[in-house]
Amino acid sequence: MNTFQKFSEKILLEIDKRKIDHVPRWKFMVKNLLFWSAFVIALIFGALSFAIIFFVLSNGDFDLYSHLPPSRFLFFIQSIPFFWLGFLGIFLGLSILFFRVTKKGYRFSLSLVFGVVLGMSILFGALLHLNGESKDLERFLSTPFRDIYPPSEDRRKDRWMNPQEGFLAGDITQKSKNTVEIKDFLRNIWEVDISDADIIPGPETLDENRIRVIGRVEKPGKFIAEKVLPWEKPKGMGNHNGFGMFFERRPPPKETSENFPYF
Amino acid sequence: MIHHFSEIPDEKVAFQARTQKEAFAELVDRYESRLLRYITRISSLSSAEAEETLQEVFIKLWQNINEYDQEQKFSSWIYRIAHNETISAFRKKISRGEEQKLSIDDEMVQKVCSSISVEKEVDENITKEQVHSVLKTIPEKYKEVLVLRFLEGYSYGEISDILSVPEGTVATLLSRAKDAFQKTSKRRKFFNFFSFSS
Repeated sequence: MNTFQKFSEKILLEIDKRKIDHVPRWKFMVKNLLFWSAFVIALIFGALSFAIIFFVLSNGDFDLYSHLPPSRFLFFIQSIPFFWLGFLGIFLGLSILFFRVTKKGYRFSLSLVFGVVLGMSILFGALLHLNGESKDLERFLSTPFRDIYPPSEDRRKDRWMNPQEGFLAGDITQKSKNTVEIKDFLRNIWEVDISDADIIPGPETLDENRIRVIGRVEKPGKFIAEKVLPWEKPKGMGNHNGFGMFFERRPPPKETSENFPYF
Repeated sequence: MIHHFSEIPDEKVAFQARTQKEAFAELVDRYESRLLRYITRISSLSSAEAEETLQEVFIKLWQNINEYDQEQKFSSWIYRIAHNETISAFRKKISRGEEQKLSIDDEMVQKVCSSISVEKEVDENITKEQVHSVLKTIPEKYKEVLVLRFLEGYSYGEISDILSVPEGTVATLLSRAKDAFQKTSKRRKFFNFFSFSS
């Protein structure tokens, strides 16, 4: 017996002495499965974050930023969904981490994993948003953080409850040719004169339940509209207009005797 | 029952080691000296500490043999265990405030010397002591890739499996290791110009 053999015997004796056994194969399989599951869950939360970011940005009133107080810069800063960007960052980081600790995850470079995870989050997030799920998602996921970070919808309502500044929004209760009656978020009733207003993107806006109005207060309860817009951007893939959804869609020119001979 | 493992590749012996102690002992026999040398090369552990670390490597091998995937090269897998155990032992040593510098043996100096293709402007009187002194000063993380590449002879893919890093990172580490070697040697004016053979 040479020293080479002695060492292997010594190891086996030590194993017997410490009563060490093989770790069962199923434990390794479960461990790997857990890492993959954690990766998928983190990826799902990343996609949910993206869907909410899409929703917040697409409903961020960017189409009217020139009208909005107090300054454009401040408005942009207030419109960036930092909370959800942070949420996204955490879950992107976790999904990368969980992927890297899977059995063969180390073989892929960090930049490649980051790119793929980011791409998948954007893709699934965009699909959720285009499918109209993002608003409910934000409301649901915001619930535990409501005190520190109210849903964008609530912050937006605050912005549009400023009739003295020229911003009014509410639900249509009645409508006629030149006026609509709306109930604002504090349940006040307003008669809105729309006879000279641009209705964006078109007359169908008045078929919406909730609208935004830019204009001025003529007297208590009476508002003269300059622009009327839907509260929400159209839902659904067919109604979206790519990045155009962030910007003002001009209505068709009004029909007058000059451009419409049958007027 | 007599077992003859001599002609059987490591991967198959590792599979049999799940159920047969003789197969496990065969793996210990095959890797004992290689791993002991590797451990001492990448750490400043004394021979007694290195042997203790080696024992822990084989105990980890015994414990985790069911994790081994036969698609992977066995030597890469066991070297990874050895790498992790050595790093762990090395960190313990550092936390005790003991010597942190890696040891560099003559063979390493010899191999690095032979892997440097010296060209026209080089001082032909390069001594082993000079290479040794350069190697002593380059960061330790680079030394390990130099050991695996030039002394253990592993490919980039195998080093990637051992260190659990992407192949691109292995290439970067090796390139930086060579740069570090070059800069240090230039600073010391041992060589005016040299390049590593691939």
